[in-house]
Amino acid sequence: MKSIIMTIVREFKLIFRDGITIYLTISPAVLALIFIFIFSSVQESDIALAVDKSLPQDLVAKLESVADIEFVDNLESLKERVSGADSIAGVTMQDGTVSLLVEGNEAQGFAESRQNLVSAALGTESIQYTTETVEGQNSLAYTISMACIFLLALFIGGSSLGLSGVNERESGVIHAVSVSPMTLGSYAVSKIILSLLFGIIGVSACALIMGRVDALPQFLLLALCSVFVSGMIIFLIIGFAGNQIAAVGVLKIVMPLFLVVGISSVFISEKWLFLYYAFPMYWQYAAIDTVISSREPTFQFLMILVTGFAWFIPVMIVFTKKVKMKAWR
Amino acid sequence: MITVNSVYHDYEGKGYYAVSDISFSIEGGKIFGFLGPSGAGKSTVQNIMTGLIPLQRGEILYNGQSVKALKTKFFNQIGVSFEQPNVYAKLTGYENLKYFAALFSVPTHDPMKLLDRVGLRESAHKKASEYSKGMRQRLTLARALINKPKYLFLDEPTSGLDPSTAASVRELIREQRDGGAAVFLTTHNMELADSLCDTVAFLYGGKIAAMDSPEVLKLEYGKRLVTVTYDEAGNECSKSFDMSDRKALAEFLVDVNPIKIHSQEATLEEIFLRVTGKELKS
Repeated sequence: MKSIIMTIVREFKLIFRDGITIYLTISPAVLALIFIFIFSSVQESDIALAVDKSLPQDLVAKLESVADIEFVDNLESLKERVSGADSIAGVTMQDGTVSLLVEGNEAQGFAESRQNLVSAALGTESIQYTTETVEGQNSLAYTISMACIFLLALFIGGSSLGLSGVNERESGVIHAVSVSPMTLGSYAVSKIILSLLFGIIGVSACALIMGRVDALPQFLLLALCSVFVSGMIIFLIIGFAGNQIAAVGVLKIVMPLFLVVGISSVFISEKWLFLYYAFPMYWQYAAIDTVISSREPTFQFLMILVTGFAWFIPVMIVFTKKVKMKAWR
Repeated sequence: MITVNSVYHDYEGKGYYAVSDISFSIEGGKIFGFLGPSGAGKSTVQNIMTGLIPLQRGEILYNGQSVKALKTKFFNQIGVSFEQPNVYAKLTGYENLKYFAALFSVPTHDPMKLLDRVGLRESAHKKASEYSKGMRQRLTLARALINKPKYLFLDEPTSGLDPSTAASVRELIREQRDGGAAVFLTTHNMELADSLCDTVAFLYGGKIAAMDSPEVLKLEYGKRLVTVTYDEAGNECSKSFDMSDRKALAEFLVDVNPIKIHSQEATLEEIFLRVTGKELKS
């Protein structure tokens, strides 16, 4: 245990003394900032309400005094409009009662604020409101961009430790570790724990910056369930790169692989989707998509763990052969 | 005690042995010198002995226990200094030793005291990347000693060191021997081997060409000579005599005007040349 803790401390020192690794570590947060600049332009426009033709004209006039009004033909169109990429609530009349429709994945307080706004505009607090939530349908660009950032945050956690391992391999200091009482298991665990920590910090920062604090527990679970995926990234990089230049080459292959596999499933016909089931990267993307849509991703988390473990074992076998570290002693 | 019996190693599995039929033993409190030119297979043997390369054929025993069956705890007893000074370049010398000390579950040396012994106290808090090659070499040696090893493997420990530091490193190695450690020293530095080793083995072409104590090898393969430098019509000339032929030497000294008389004995370098037909530094 002492050796694992000391190795984690040592890795921290090495990573924070390496400028490139620091830039790598903060890059997902920077991307998250860029993300909110792009998507907030859609979401932070003036307050708007969508209304259908069931709403009496006098009530519409009152609402026009507090918000931009968009007219749609019927209730179905209203639901479709509310589930768009931007933040807009819908107002309709159902059975003589004014109803407010909001998208299921809107930020906390959005429904309450719109309900208060409509109530104040109509000036009749005695009116009973019913709030109906419709299932969110995020735009593909929004989902993919968000998934990219979270996947990148997880990838960076693993790759930072992978690069540190390549440095150990290049300098030969890994041989000094190999002839110490530190086992392969302790070596692997110390690297994976730190990559998990980086992954957790990364996804937390991204969730905070992108205004998805509500989904933070699920993103943290995503990072934890990605433990074997992080391990794969670390030991693939160390196993196939004997020096920092080779590591850049390996990153060029491994990085797109880990980011694109999951996302590419969006463009694949459903009948071929089963081919993706063996890849933990697909389940990572599926989990992020599910979290963004405010659904429960338990199954996807489980599949990340199962498929991640299935890939992690052969990666470790390749690593021990390439680095000549004794697996068991 | 370390016992090595008929060890072979074939890197590519094509029947070409990098080392073959290597056998020797090292008792505790002794220094065994493994001498040979670059590429002779010295590091291969060391790596097999330390478990870095799997043992393919033959037997290596540590107090009767096979290297193949060594458990984690055994590694508390060995110290390895590599030819290439492999340290964490972005950690300081002190941090390097402190980290490795934490990997062992046996009492270790105080890193600062050890750095002092190898002349690195003043640079203890400098990053290893700022060290010269010689300083890194000393740091690697200090790391090998941090766990007070019972079996010490040293690969070219004085490479790149100035004479004064090399002498202090020699003294440190002697201390380990006197403390009961079995020391396996690989080098092509004949002076180092001559001054330190109880037994030396000449490795050439992956095989042991000769093995014994330096004194016995010198007696067996070398000639002890006396060289007389004398004045002959204003010119300085010299002539060598076999030490066993004292009569000829005495007669010669009567006839000439000697300037200098030096006794000479064969060096390990010369013996290596005689045994293998090749220069050691090639």
